[in-house]
Amino acid sequence: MPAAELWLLLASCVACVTAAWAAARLVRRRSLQVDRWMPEGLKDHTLAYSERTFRSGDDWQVVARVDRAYRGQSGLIVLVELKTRQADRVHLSDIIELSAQRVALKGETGESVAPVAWVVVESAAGRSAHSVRLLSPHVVWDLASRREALLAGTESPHYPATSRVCASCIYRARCRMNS
Amino acid sequence: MRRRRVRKTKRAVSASALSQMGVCERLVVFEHFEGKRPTPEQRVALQRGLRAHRQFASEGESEAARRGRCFIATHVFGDGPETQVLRLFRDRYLRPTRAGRSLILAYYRLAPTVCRAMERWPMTRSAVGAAIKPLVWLATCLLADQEGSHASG
Repeated sequence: MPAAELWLLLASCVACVTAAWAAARLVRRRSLQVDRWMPEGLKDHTLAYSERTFRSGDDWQVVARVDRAYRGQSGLIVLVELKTRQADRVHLSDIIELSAQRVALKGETGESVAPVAWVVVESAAGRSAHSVRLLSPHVVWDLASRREALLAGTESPHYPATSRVCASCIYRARCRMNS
Repeated sequence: MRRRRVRKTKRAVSASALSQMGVCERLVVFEHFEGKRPTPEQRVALQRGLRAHRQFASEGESEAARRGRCFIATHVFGDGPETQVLRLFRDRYLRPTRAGRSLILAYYRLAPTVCRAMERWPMTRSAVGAAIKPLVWLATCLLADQEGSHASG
């Protein structure tokens, strides 16, 4: 075999090994990054549900898609919700959504769901988990009743607590707040 | 009966629709009557969110495959209904009690050896399958009984 071909073969082998090493490093770094957000309290839990829809069988049927739900040693379910945001912040809407998920999951499976859940915010800085205390089922049902009353026109809708949400709202021109 | 069903459908609400109540009640009303009208920036953010959720879900699946596997049943029945029943039985009946958790731990220690044996001597697979079948039947009965009591309660 001529020397030039041998060198070519050797260079190809080196390139393959380097590419494999770089790929393995990338995968490892990514997996480390993926697990970094996981709170200590959830590390001994097992994943019970992922991307599953639940429906409570109550008079008020709450339908919720759960991002992830972990089961602890005692059998208690802990909810986890992923949010993609520019700022690493939790909103009231996240707490309402998780509280509704709790009602739906408990209603369908009968399993106990922890009153504390986690919101994982994926921002430019990466993922970080925030612990939140959930609303009671009564508050969720009250909210559902209020929403129904708003849509039926028997109650007047409130303006948001801050005008910041109006900045990105497509209806702001028609909303009385800005008129 | 029909009227009851209609009423029930009317009183259903999704968690994401309910969460909008925490953003702006006026927006809830606008969107209900005129539909969602995302701005171009919101549309981009929505796509980013969907991508992130797909990634999160696939990470969850690989995590489940790594941590929550019902080894022997998966080996014998694949991801079929028998395996699902046994997983549900493990999670609902065994995991809540201390004795059940010890049993799960013992099973997780023993299962890889049994799986290796089944790979080495494939004829043992049908024997193990036949031995598990009564357990699947028992688990199905217990789960059906539990679901029945939930429905009546």
